[in-house]
Amino acid sequence: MRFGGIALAAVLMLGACSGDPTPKEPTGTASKPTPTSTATPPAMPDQAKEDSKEGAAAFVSHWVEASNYAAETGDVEQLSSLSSSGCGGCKTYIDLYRTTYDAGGYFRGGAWRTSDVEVADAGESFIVRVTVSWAASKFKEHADDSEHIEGAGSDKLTFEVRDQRVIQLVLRSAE
Amino acid sequence: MKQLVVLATVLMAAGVPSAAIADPDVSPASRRPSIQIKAEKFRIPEIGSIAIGKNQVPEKRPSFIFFQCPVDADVGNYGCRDTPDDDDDERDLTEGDVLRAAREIGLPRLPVSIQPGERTLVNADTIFSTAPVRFNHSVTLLGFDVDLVATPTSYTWHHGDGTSRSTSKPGRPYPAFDVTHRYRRAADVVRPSVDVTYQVRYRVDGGAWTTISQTITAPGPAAELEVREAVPVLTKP
Repeated sequence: MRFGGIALAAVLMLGACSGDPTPKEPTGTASKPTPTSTATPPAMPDQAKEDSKEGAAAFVSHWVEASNYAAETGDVEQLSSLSSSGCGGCKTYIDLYRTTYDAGGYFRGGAWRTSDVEVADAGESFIVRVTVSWAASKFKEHADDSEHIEGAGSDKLTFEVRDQRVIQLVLRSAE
Repeated sequence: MKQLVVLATVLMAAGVPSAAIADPDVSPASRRPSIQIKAEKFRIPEIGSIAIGKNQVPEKRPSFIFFQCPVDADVGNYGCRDTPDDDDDERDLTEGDVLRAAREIGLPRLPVSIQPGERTLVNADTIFSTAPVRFNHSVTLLGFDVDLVATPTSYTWHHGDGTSRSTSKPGRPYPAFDVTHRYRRAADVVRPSVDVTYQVRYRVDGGAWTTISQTITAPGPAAELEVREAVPVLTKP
């Protein structure tokens, strides 16, 4: 994506140097920045709104995508709206992303992928067990930090979901 | 006052995460859940909607039944596997149901045609053939309109002398020699027959056709055939 931007800039510069005295306004379509996958928060799939085991499974996948988006951008607004205030595990991640970006740090790559989804109906809520795995990634805790390399790995998580909010997030072993 | 102190102790024990053992190589900013949320304890959800009978003692730890939810990456669709003893009326149509229906209707049992006729000769080619019949049926299964089509895919010829042979073609009558057999010894009567194996396709409510991998074999009725030995006979003119 970044290369695309450089290429576009190069084309525009060439256009400016072509000897035409009147500076050309870039046309509407050409000037539009190409949206990257991280430019907008992920949209919630309709299935994630369903009050069913399938809906809860889809919702947890959506939460993980929102978490990936927040990790890549520092924009935690969507992740916060999908997490109940009482969810300590959620708060840990929201705070981690916010403080990291506020301090000039970042996360690059290593998006979580979900697999082995299991759902139980707990009456008022759903319990969703899921394996998250990630590829190797890089991050900086703050602007002056040296870049850390995080290896690929996976963890088993347990979510409790109620009314399109995560109300608990723990490691499976804590269940 | 004493109670308050006890309460405070409990709150501290619950609220303060046990001090994580610092790993010098791991930054506290890692996204790893085993680093970030290792101190989070799971609170067992209260089962509000499940009534507990008068004489039943509420379980200390309710057991939850987990269903596996396979993920289709393209459709984004989850099918959390449900309890096997679901209501029969609401269950989906399976291939087994369609196969059972096809068996109950009965796929065509085909008679075998033999040439030269009711008698044949040892060590001469005897020709077998049959005439396949179209099988199209529409039935209602579990409230679904199901169209069934069966197509013969193989024919097993039982010659009646203990040998048999399978072909993909139904054979043709003389002068074609598609499916033939030579009897090795004479017999007053042998009972040849043909079993037809069908591939069944179906569609539900006019949808796309599905081919069932399992086939159905319909055994045909036996014919009667005399196998004679040709004996040279010298006759005086």
